[in-house]
Amino acid sequence: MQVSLLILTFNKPPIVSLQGQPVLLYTQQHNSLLAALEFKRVRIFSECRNGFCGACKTKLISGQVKYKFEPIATLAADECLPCCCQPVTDINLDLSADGVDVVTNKQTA
Amino acid sequence: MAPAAMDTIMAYSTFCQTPNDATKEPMFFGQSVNVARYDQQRYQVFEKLIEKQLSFFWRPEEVDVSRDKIDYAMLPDHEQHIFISNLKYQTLLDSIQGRSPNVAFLPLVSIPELETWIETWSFSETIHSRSYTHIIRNIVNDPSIIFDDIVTNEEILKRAGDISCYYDDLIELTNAYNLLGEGTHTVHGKTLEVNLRAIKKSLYLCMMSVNALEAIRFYVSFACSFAFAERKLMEGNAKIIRLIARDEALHLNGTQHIITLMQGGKDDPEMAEIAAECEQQAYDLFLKAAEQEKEWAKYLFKDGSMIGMNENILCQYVEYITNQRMKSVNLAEPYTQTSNPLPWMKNWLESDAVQVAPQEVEVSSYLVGQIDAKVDASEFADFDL
Repeated sequence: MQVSLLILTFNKPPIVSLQGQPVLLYTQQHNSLLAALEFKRVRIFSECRNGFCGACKTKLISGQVKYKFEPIATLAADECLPCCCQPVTDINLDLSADGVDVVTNKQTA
Repeated sequence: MAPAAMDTIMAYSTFCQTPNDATKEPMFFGQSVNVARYDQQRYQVFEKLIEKQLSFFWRPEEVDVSRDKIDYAMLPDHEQHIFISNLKYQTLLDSIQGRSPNVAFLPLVSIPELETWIETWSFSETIHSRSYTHIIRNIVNDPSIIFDDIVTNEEILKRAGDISCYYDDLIELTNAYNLLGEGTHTVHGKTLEVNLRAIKKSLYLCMMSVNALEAIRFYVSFACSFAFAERKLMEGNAKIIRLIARDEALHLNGTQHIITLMQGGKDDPEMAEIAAECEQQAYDLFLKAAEQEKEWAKYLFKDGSMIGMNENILCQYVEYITNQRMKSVNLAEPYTQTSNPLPWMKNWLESDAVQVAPQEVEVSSYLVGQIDAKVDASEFADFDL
């Protein structure tokens, strides 16, 4: 019997990293990437939180996101709008992790 | 159909009879728009902006501001000064914005979706103007005292000059070009160097100035209005300002789009050259706007601060948002302020929190033609069953 590889792949929640530092696991409890980041006290600027003002525009260093609806704000190829998107793969954002509670790897720390 | 030659614009016509494919025209300086059709579009973003703006439609009369009169009367003098001065300034800004995009940009625009966006945008500014009358009429007996001061108040006039001059220059050059064509002309004793490149440059700088107006200047007044509302004062006003702020965020996004399309060069290669050439001028223009707003903050708080807001915090906020806005239009960030000194602003600017229909939730001041029944538990004290 053939089993699709997709079914066998463990569907792990995406890891959100800030400049390479893993900061959170994105689960369905989070309404948007922005809400998840704010929950972790990441410093990020936002205004309309609905995809049209563009205030929360953030550089996506790696990974993919999907949008709940298509935002109106202009986005460059390497940018995302956290207020209306959610990660689909592990992502690395160009935001500072300063002052954020993070899990550090004890073996390397 | 070949795109209209970029080096010659035809004199403006309200219905240009030369058939053309508008999707091949640049945003500005192509053939004047003839058929207002939206089935095919060069830049769909303007269509999205129009739809969003229409979905945001509201009328000032829907917001009950009657409680504000009581609040206003109880404010100390220096807070009344802050409140009224901001209203005056916003009245000025929206007076300009309610007409200027139409007068200055419409004769130059060459794609229907952008033409309609400009009209929709400017129309919504007229609603803002009407709402200031609604607010002012409610808190003072004689609105003239406030309105008449706008054209004599030096602190306001200082800014007005810097905002309207970019529009005025563009309108003057466009008129001279339409009437007299390229060349050096003397109009009303003033020598004008008229050529297409000069008009394009004037348009680019004007767009930057409008962006600074919508992105920085408005937010100073917003911050003060919301600071009052954080203390549960002047809440009717804050509800109106919140609707205005939601519209402004959209307008700001519109001008950012226009500017980035101009800078990109795909729309009009000459415009990209001009954008690169004007980078320093654009930077200076933003910086001047920010510095003027900081001076305005000093004027607002000259007789004293209010709880949660003072000159210092407001200036830090101006610096912070100036950095953010300049980054959005690809300009260097001039200030060192790296954190938002007014984190609560986002609660007021969040557009989902804005009530969209009066019947949806019971927010006290959003009741159309109804009595705002503030019922306290104590009212039932002598109620027997």
